[in-house]
Amino acid sequence: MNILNIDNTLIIPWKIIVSAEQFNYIEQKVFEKTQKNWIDILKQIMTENKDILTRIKIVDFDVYKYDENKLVLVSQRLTKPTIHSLVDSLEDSLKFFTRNYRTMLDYLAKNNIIDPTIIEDGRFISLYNKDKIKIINIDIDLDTDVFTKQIVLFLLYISFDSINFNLSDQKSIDYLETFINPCCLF
Amino acid sequence: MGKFRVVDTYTIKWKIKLSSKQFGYLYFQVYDSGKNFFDILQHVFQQQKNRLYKSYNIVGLEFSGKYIDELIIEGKTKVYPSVSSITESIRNILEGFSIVYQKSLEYLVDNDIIDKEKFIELYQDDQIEIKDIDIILDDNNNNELVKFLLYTIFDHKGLSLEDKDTYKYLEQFININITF
Repeated sequence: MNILNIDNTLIIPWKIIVSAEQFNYIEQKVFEKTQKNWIDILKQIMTENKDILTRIKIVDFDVYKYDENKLVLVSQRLTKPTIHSLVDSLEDSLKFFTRNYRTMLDYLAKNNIIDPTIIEDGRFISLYNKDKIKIINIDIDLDTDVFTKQIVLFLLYISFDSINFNLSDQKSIDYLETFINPCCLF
Repeated sequence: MGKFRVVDTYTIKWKIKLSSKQFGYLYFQVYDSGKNFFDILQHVFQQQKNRLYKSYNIVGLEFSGKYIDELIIEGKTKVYPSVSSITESIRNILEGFSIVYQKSLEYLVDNDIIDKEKFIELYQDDQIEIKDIDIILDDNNNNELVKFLLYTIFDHKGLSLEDKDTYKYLEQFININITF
């Protein structure tokens, strides 16, 4: 059975759009002081922290500008076929972004690229209260049909498993067969 | 995919492969009468369509098979965004099929196409087995299906991704200090 073959992990590609005014501030300051693109700096820090990716089962992470004030985070994380693992994979993707974002803020503050007085412990002190980073959208990033099928089967497996219904288990099949084998005919 | 908003039902298409020797008997008996067994099942389904929709959320049933002991059902069901509804949809297809199958057997007996006593004898030592259950993907709305399943799974954990509280919960991970 197709549904039965889910006994391994699957790479779930999350696509998360986040938004904050602070991204604009950083973009302007980094360009003014360094003529660089701040996202390249963020990517550089992510590359340096690559060992963390392996620890939290993320196989690839990318970030790019979506729109004014908005970033797209693309995270491919190994996920076990359980609800907990699926939620963890989303949370870890957000945590990984945060860790690197904070490291980047510290770097920018130490190098006076942004005003160091507004940064404390990786947070924007003056901007933080009125400008938290918001999650705008969460998607699974689908590319090919083959991959879509894998994801669909994986999600179905998780759905069934959450109510202890497992199509690889003969008991579940036996249960279903009761509906097509009634005791009496005619 | 768009936003994580699922407020409606979704139509899931299941492909269920069944196996039983009784199918072989039926195919040959019906063939001898100049008819096709799958056509009879389809005709009975059309007659029962309203009942199957109202009682089992079945939108469509189609029948086919490659081997004499095989019957493939392709069934479309309306599913609500809950884990139990997805599971129930497989059961509904099987229950709907069972109604169509039994009505078809009655028709075949009434028209002397099969022998009632012989079939009952065959039926008693030959249970129908489920060989395969698969979901049929539609090129046009796979994204919607993935969204529907994700919504359902998260909802089952009390994390509705159309709910502001869930976004607030997840935003904690990007607005506090994180250690791995």
